[in-house]
Amino acid sequence: MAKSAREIFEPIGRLGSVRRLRGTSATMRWDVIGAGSWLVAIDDGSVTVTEGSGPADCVIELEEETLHRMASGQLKPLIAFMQGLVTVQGEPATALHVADLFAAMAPALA
Amino acid sequence: MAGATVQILDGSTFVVSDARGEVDASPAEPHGLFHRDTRFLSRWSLTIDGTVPNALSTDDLHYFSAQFFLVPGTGTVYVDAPLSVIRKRSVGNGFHEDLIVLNHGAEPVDLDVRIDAASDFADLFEVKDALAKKGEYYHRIEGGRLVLGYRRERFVRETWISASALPEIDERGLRYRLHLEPHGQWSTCLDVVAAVDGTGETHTATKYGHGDDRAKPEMQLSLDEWLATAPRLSCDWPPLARIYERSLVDLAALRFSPRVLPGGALPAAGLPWFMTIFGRDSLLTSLQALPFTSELATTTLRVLAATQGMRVDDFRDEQPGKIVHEIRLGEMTAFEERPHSPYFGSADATPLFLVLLDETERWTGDAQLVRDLEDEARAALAWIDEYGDSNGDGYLDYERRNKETGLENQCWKDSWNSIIFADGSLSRLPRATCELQGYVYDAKIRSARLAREFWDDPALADRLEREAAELKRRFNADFWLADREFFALAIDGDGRQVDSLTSNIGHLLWSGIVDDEKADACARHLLGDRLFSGWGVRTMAVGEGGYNPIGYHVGTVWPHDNSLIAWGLARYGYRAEAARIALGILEAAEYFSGRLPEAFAGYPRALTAFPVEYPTACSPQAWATGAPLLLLRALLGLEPVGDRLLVDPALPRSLGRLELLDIPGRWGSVDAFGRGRLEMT
Repeated sequence: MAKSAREIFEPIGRLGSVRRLRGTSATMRWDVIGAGSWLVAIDDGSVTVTEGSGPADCVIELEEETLHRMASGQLKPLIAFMQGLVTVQGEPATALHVADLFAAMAPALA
Repeated sequence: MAGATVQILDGSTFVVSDARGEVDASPAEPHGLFHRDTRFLSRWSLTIDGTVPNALSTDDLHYFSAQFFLVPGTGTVYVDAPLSVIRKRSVGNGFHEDLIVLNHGAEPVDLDVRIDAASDFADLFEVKDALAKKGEYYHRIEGGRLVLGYRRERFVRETWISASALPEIDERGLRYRLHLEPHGQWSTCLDVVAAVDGTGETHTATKYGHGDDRAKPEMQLSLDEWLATAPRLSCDWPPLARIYERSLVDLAALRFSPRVLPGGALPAAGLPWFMTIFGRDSLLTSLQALPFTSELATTTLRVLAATQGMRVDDFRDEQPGKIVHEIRLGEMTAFEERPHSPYFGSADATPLFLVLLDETERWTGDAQLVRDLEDEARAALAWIDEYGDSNGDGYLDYERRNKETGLENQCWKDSWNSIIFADGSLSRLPRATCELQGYVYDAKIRSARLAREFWDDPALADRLEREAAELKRRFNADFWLADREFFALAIDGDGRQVDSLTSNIGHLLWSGIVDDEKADACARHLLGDRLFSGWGVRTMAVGEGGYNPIGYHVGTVWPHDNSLIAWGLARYGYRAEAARIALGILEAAEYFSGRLPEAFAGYPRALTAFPVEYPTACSPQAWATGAPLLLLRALLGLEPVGDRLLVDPALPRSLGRLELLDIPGRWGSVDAFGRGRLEMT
């Protein structure tokens, strides 16, 4: 059963501190086509999520199905990016932390 | 004149053309404009009245630009050519080209100037194989611009071609019908932009424009600053200064700014085809360069930590804690027809990551780095024990889990036929090559120090030291060929000793795993006629069943291999032997104008009188570039001890006096002096 964008972002908001994101502070906005926007703020590894739009260091645009496949581990974020399934505007270095984010939340989504 | 190849580059963007500046790709001629592992132009051909002008001369002005001086005609008589053509090309996000046509005659001329352009958008992996593409090509002409494109599902790549002087445009290129007055000239700027490249951003302009002559590296240190901050060398033997400067300049060109750490620089493996992150090559090159610059090591460690394996993924040979082998960004990787996203097929990168982490702290005193990477270092140690030993015999081994596109040999000698018995037969998988065990031993000893001094974990330190001691004891029993007095190349999947004599035993000296009483035999083999060619130590000894003086890993001489061997000999006190190897490699470098190739032939020095280059695609190659630097370290006996730098030179007499001034490190800066006293026989 495919998870909705909301079902994916809510557990990310409960992750708290993510080891591999320590030393990273940035905000990424996820524009999920047809589902809405989420702001994911990382403050030295500490992750908070807010639903809604706003300014961000990078903006990641994708379809809900792509998000689901990435979050469930069926699609590597780098592959999604390389195939053009995900577009990134802004600071690409921030987007490269997406893999860390999904790896950290894999247990929560299982 | 069309035979020679000209390569200019900017990061992972590069142009390969002939000496006329012509790009005409074929499976035999890997020409093109390449960007992010994709070819954005496979044809870029200038004709004047239907013929390609001939090259008078070519200048590679900088690593990122080249100038081609051309004359129309048959190539037989240049002297009184009535016309000349100049193409000046600078690469970056595509390339910018100034095209100038000069009429030297007293009569006006009418000329038909055409630039044919095409792109096959080949993945780097397809360049040699000319594989059929799965997507579709398109083109459009819009706003004075020719757009060449390729689409496969949502994977889109586009090349935008435009000019400052408005051309006639058709789908195959640009055309100008010129009228030049006597002694007149005409010029235009041509821009070829790798516009849609998969980054999600569209590049609308090239990096360099008309008249830009200064490099704009995407790194904090420019070439001038890089050279100015490196230690200064002087030597009575003149070639050494040239070799040293060549190494520094080439190392600067090999710097690569990673996307995960913008502004930082790590060494790519080789120009131009391997301008990407390679775990093993980046680690060893950074290690070789540590006495001269620590920035490469710091960035390499941080980037490899950020890309460390997180899960079990057989396609990518990925496992938790494993350090990456290679990253690629082309179409075949994107559609998982190749595993490089990233690929983890190397067994040595993980222990070498730990070795470099410790060695970097010993030079820089950067305790923060060691603390920041504690989790990644622990994960690497866990990988060695949990995943690294696939058959449970207590030795790090490898066997690819990706049977179709994975690498068969995941040690540095990664060609298929490198791990063979003395009778020439192939060993079985999984293979535990000997140098891997040395790296693990060294990694555990070094990590024990880090655990004790920085991670406040003396229990881990004790355990690692116990395990290292036990590994050393078993290794010296299990790998030693008592009758031949050297260490087996590997223990294979059937538990057999792979009994070829190879250069790998030198790596064992470097790691310190060799029992003292066995070191003498290793040194004798390394400097004996079967392994030592007179220039350096062969990868495999003469007389072994697989030996071939021009076999990639079975008889050629690799400068980087020799630098590690010399360092290993020095570690065990064989200073004269280390000096002999260092001198041989440095004398070889003189024949290559200071730039050592990746490998050269294993023919005896007495037979050929000069080292015979092995044909490889990349030049410079990172760890060949780093070899003279590590050889200098071995010759001068540079060793950090606490907050001091120990200097203990042992030089060949023919070098005379050698000075290396302002060696940077936790001691501030230190000067090293040595005088050649060793007679080389």
